[in-house]
Amino acid sequence: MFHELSDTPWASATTLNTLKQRAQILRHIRQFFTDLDILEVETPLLGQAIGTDPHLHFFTTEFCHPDLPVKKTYYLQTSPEFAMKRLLAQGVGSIYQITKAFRNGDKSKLHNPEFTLLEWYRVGFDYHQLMQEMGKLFQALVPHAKLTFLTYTQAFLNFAGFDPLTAKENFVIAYCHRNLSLTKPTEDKDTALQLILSMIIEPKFPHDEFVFVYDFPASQAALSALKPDNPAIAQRFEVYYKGMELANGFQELTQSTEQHQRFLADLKKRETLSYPLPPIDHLFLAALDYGLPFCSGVAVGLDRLVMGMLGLDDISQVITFTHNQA
Amino acid sequence: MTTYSTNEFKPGLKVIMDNDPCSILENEYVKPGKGQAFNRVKLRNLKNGRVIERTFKSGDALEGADVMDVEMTYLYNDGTHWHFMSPETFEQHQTDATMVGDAKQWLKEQDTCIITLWNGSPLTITPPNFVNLVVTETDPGLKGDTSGGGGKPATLETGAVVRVPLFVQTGELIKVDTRTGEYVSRVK
Repeated sequence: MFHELSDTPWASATTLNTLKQRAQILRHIRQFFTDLDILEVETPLLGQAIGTDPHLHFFTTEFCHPDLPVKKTYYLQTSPEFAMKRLLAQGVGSIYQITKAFRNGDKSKLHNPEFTLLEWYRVGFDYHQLMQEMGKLFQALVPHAKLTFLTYTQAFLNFAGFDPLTAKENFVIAYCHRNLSLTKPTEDKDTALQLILSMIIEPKFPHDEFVFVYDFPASQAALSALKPDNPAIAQRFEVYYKGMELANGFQELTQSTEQHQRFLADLKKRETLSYPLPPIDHLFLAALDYGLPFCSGVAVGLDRLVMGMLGLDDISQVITFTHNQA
Repeated sequence: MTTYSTNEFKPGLKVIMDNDPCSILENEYVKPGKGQAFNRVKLRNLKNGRVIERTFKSGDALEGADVMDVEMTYLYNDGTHWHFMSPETFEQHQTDATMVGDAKQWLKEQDTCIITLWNGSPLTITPPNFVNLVVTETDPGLKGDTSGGGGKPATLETGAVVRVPLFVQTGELIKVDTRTGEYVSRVK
């Protein structure tokens, strides 16, 4: 019989019921992909390079190679994206993975520095098709789940009263400063937009629905491709559920030169913020050179999905041991 | 004074915000859209008691506030100033009527209070949670009625007016909860 012990450092703060339900959710997810004939893969947690996103902080470790006099730095992945895309370039076909990702410095009721991602890539799908498939997964896990789809622009027009793409930078920064009681105005329009979406608009979304927001501004493209007919818009989407950012998806950027440019821009930004500069993943860029097929991919925060499905509000309730107890 | 960064903001921490001493109530880490991290902080202004909300860039800092809670004995008041003494150092502090505020109606000589000091000066006075005070004036009420029903007003030795059960008489000692201003019981 499982002993529920809270405030006991050696004991898990979860309940047996939560552990069983989490296991069942994992089973259902695997069944969903098996039924679609999508292959499960495992890619390394340790890599010689890592993503350059300025706001992702990474963990490093050292490999004591028996043949080398100097220890080699390895990075714990912030996401399996690069490795999975290398397999895609090799022609593996549609794949999925349930794996751990590591983001240094993130700790809150919704963040643990070590967390679980469900990430999958669909060859031949555009991002709308992938969103539809995600909807099917959510409805398989939560019967009768309601899905809402709206563009980034519609979300702002409906819930903040302005057009995020055409609004002037000073207007957006002032709006954000005023409405969120910021101690200092944000330095740029994108940071202000991110705060407004997260803290003003998202709380207005229907709480129990899976809300898909798509067509992000190009400045927030990350690894997504821009719309060929409208390069001001990125083919990127996010999913919100029960007040949480649940997933981030893209129609994948396939051009290695543009990807390389984005990495360099990220590194420049990291430099201005005095953040460490990681090595660029040249193995990933080489795979893009070889050729990434037309595909879309998405990463889902599995711990948050479990929290949402079970009506829990603290990530320590769904993870066996969070960072302070690990 | 030390500065504290947002990662160190824990409930109860005393900091200076907009030039006033504040106490941190809540601190939530948010990372919108995988962008820059922020902290949504709720603070209580210790000067006016108001709760304020602010969003900080994660890593920003605030100056710590030299705020301390000390136990003091209430001595007396001369109408203008209320006098307190530290039972340990015998140091005396005086505050005015505005500073004492609502606590005025519960203070009895020799009672121990909590005084919140900011940079050594009194900021707020908190009377003990329970005080025993004599009823100086109240209607006789219905003889034999112990139901307590709606009760009746009673003036206490400090001037406070409290609702008491009908059986409480002038001259009796009663216990009052200073946090709610409610009658608790009679005291033998």
